[in-house]
Amino acid sequence: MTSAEQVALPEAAETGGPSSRLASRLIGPVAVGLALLSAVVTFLVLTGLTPVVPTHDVVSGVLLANGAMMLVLLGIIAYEVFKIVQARRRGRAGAKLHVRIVGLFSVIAAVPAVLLAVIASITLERGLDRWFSTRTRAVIENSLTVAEAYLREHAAMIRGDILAMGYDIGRARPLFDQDRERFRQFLNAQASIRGLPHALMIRGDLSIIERADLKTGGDFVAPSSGALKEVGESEPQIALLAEAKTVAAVLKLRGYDDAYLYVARPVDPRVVEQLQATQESVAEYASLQARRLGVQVAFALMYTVVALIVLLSAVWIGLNFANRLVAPIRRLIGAANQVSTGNLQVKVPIRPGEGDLAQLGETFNNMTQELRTQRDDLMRARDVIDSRRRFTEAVLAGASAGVIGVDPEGRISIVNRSAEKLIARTQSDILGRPLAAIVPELAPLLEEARSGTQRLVQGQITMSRGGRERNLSVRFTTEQSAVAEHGYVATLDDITELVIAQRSSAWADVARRIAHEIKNPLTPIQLSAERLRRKYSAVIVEDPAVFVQCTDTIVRQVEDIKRMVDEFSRFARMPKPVITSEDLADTVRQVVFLMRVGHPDVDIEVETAEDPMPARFDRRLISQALTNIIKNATEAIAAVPPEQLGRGRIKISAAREETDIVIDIIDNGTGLPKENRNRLLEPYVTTREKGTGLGLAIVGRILEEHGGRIELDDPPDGSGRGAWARLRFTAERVVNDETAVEIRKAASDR
Amino acid sequence: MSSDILIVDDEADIRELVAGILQDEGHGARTAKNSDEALAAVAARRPSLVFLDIWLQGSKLDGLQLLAAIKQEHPELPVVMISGHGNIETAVSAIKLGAYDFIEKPFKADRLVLVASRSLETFRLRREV
Repeated sequence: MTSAEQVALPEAAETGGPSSRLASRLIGPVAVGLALLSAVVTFLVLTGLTPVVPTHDVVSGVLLANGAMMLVLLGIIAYEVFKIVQARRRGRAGAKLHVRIVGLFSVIAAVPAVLLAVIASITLERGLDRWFSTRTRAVIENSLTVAEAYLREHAAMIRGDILAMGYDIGRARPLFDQDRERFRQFLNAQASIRGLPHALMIRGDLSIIERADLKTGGDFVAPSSGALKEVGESEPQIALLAEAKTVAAVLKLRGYDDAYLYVARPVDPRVVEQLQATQESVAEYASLQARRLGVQVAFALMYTVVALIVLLSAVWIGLNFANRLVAPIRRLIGAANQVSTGNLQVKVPIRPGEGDLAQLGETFNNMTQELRTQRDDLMRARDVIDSRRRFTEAVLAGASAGVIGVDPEGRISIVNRSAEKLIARTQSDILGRPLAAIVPELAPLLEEARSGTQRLVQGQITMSRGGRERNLSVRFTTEQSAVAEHGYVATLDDITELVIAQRSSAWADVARRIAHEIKNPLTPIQLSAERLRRKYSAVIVEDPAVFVQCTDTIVRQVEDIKRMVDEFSRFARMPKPVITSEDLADTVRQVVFLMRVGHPDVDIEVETAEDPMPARFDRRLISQALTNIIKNATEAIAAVPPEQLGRGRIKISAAREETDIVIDIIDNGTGLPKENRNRLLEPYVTTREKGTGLGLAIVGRILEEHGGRIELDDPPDGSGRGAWARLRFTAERVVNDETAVEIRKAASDR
Repeated sequence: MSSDILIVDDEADIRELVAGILQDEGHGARTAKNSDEALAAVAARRPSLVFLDIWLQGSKLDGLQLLAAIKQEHPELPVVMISGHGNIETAVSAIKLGAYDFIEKPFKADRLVLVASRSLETFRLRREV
């Protein structure tokens, strides 16, 4: 009986209360125990080992009881199997294994039992049974034949005797009628001759007419009157009288009216008993033979029922064992499923009685715990890395230096905000693209970093983006990694200001020295020349004009040199600004007024966002800066060939941008050179033949001192010619009303 | 006219040139290259005007100290300071100390002559008054 046959069972609820579960748990063992007990009792009863006689009723009762037990077992097993099947349908963990184990146990329990039963019955049927039954029948039949032959011989003898005796008595009628005494003697003689202990003459009504008294011993059994009527004159009736252990014969006497001869001769009582027993045996045997099929069926049924009980018990035990075996495995599988879905909190309950499986469960628990610990460690490590990454990102985002990450293939992997600004590209644009294509200026350094073995490669590059030229200090650092393939990190520091400051400072130093060293010899040179002219111009008669021209040239050149040196020293000795509350609008106006006077041919427009425009700055320095810029503008306008110029125009506007003050000076002069534009701010860089190159440098320094800068560009309207200078400096807005009032008053006084 | 001008300058070229130009104009001129010589010259004969360089290299006293020393003995003596480049502030403070005027290097011969004659005239007038 395999489980596969019982798969198709109707589905039903498995759930039940704890009491019913307990009952169902108890009902199994109890039923199995009862069934086995009933099987044993049946066996004992059938084998006759009990006082109970195995009558038909007993047997059928036992059979019924066994059948009932079998049905109960079948029900329990069906219920168990149903549970398993249901579990399998639900896809419960280990259900397949359960089914297989149950099937295996059932097969192992059932097949040998069935096989053994079949072999045993066949062996008995074919061997012993047949052998014994034929012999027994022969013996029984032979003994019956012998007994009957013996009796038949007696009957034949007594038949002969009675016939002869009847004939003789018939002839002796006259003697019977005449002499009864003699007849009696004759009868006695007849009886003794023929060896008949009993010889009687009886009438039809069984009354005795005459009897021979050879032997009085022994009972006389009268024949039945009915039997007498059928007795003929020539054929006697012979009967074996078992109780009297005699053979009797009756014959109608010829020549007599209603007279019968009745003789009896005793036979060997053992023969009679033997015959009787044999006859009984034969009869019993025959009846047995007749009931044989029924008995066989009953026994077969009994055997089947008992066998089924044992088998079902075995199946149930197998089921239970499978349940016990599978339960921990099922728990393990369930837990493993949970683990596979990511739940590492699962613990398999461990029952010490489960042996190796308990150990397996413990190992499993250890494993999950280890996994959990490791996962927690990983999570923690990830959190740490995450926070570190966030920190790094925050640092990168906040860093003033531009940072560009480059992967081993030279592609950009990370760009921070400062770097975006420096290279004037957005991160989304350039991620994953080759650095050399995006920032070609960095390519040589990257190559050096990639080919070289040193960890740090640095250098300075000049990069022009968005119209602004910047000096960048670049460092390529190798990522610290054990892997041969590794990326690089480029750090870009905008050192434009620093470079400018360094240059300014260097030039200030140079200017101071030059001022000192040049001015010294200038005085004697000039004085010498002048003295020559004063003293000897009147004396020289030959070509006095040449003499005067030469001395004049010397004096004039010295004058030029002096002017230049003066500018140097002014630049070098730039005073620290004295920041006070001033009105920017008025400052601009005043400067412009002076410039208008100096350059009546140029239109100078002024536009201020506020008037007055209170701010904090050094009026003298800002005026100087403005003057320098406007002077440059007028010079640029003057440099334009007159036929192209039209009308010289300078537009000045002052406005606020957040906390900054922005003054734009836009002219339509020759404009600025495209290259090295930012170097114009350096001292001694000039585009003009006679320029000292200090004008813009001084402006730059003044704005620097005010926390600002100068920006040089082409004019915003795109007219093609001209320059746009933007002075920007931080000037706190004056919110103090008193100061504002003072400024206003000062402005109105003026 | 017997003007006697003392020129104090550490640079020989300038010293001689200034003296020469003034002599060309008819002034009497003496020279001194440091404070000791200057004080000695003043002590030997009181000059009518002193041209004093502010910066005196290799001198015990610098120009301002020398000015003070001269002014202490001869408060009436006019002293014109010769200021080097980049130290006009010093020249201004020299005026406060009693100097009559200053000329800034590099100066022109005309200005030198002008300053000399003007200061001589002023002090001559002052003495007459």
